[in-house]
Amino acid sequence: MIAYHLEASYREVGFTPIDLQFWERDRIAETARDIVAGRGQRERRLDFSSIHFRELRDAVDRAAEQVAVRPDWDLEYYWNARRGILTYYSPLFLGVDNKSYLKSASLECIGEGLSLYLLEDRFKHPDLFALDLFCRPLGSSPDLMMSYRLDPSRLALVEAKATEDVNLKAALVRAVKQLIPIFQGWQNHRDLTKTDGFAVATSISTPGVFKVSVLKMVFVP
Amino acid sequence: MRKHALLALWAGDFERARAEYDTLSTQALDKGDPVEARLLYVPELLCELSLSIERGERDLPRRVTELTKEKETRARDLHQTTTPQDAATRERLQAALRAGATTTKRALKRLRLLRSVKPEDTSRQVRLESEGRFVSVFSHPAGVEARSYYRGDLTVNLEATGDRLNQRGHIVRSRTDRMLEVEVLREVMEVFIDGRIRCISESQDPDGIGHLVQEIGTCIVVV
Repeated sequence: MIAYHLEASYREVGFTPIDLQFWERDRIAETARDIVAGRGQRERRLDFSSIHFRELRDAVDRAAEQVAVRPDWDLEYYWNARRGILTYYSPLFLGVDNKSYLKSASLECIGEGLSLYLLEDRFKHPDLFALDLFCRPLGSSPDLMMSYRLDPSRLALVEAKATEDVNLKAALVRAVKQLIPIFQGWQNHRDLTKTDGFAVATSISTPGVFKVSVLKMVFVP
Repeated sequence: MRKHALLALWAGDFERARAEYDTLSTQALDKGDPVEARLLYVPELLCELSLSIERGERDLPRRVTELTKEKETRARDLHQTTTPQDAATRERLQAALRAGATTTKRALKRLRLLRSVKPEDTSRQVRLESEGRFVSVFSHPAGVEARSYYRGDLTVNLEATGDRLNQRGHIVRSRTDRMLEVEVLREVMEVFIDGRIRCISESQDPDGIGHLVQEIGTCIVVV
C-alpha cells in the first residue's frame, strides 16, 4: 500500500498536584482512568488525511525503540492474514501478551512513529503541536522527549501505545498510567508548568487505516 | 543546538553530533543538572563509540569506562573552576555520568558487539560534504542507504523544490504534505520538509549514491 488513511483526534485535559500524590499502582490506574474518561474539552478531529509508507518508515526509523526496517510490510502481512490469505509470516499476532515468539516489534514501533509524525506537524495544526524531537530515551519511559519549536524551553513527554483493538480508550489509559509516575519524579527537578504530557494511542484494527487519539495533559497548579 | 545534534546523529555525522552533545552536556554539568547531563551523555558516548568502531577499535566496554572517567574529571574540574557547587551536587552529577555509562555498556552487551568481528570485515565509510550539506552512506538490508542533512534549521518549500526537480529532468513520483518522492536515474529518493534526503539503493555503489543525493540537495528551495 502506498499511503494509509490517517484518522486522528485530539483532546486536552488538565491534571493537578492531587493526581500526582498517590504512588500505589491501583490508585495510579484509577487516576489514569479518571483523566481519560471524564475530563477536559470535547474530542476534536484533526485534519490529517494520509501518511505515505516512506514517511511512516522514516518516522519509525527515528522514533522506535526496537528495529523495524519495513514496518509497513509487517502490517500488510497481518492484514492479509486476517482476511484469510495464507502467509509464511509467523508473527501473525502482533500483540499477544506473554508470547514473545509470536510478537513483532512493528506494532509498537508504528505507534511510536505515528506519534512522532503527528506531533512534528507544523502546517496542519501549528497551534497544537509544532514540536521538535529532543531525544528518544532507550530502555526507559517516556517514549519521546520533545520541545516546542517556538519555545524550546518548554518540553513535552510523549508516551505512545499501539493496539489491535478498535477501542483506543484502554491504550490511552495505559499511556497515562505510565506518564503519571514520570511526572511524579519530574516535578522534583523541573517546573511542571513548563512540561506537557502527550498520551498517543494508535489502532490498526481496520486494514489500511490508522486511528490515532492524542491526549494532551497540561499541569494545572 | 539539540536539533542539530539529533540531525547529525541521524545522518551518521558522528563527529559533529559528538561535539554538539559535548557542548550541551558541559552546559548541563555547569548548571548542575544531573538529569539533563545523563540524557545528553548517552548519545555522546554512542557517537564516540561509533567513531571508535570506524577506527577499528574493538574493546568498546573498556573505552566506555575510559571516556566516563575523563568526563567525571571534567565534572570535578568544572566544580572547582566555574560554578560553585556543593559536594552533593557533584556526587549527583558523577552518579548520572556513571549511570549513563552503565546504560551504554548494557546496550553493548545486548548487541554482543563486535569482539568477534575482525577490522577488515568493515567496509569503507563514505562521507561527503559540500556547502554545508553532509551525506553519509550506510549499510541497509536492501543495499546501501544514503542519508543527507543540512547543518541548519530548514523548512523546505516542497512545491518549488518539486518544480525545480522537474525542470532538471527528474521525476517527482509523489508529493505529500511533508515529503517528495523523486526518481533520479532509476533510484527513488525521499526529500523531507526539514531538508533531509534519504535513498536506499540496491544497485548503486556507495560513492555513486552519495553524489546522487548531494546533487538532489542542490535542488532544494528553502521557505
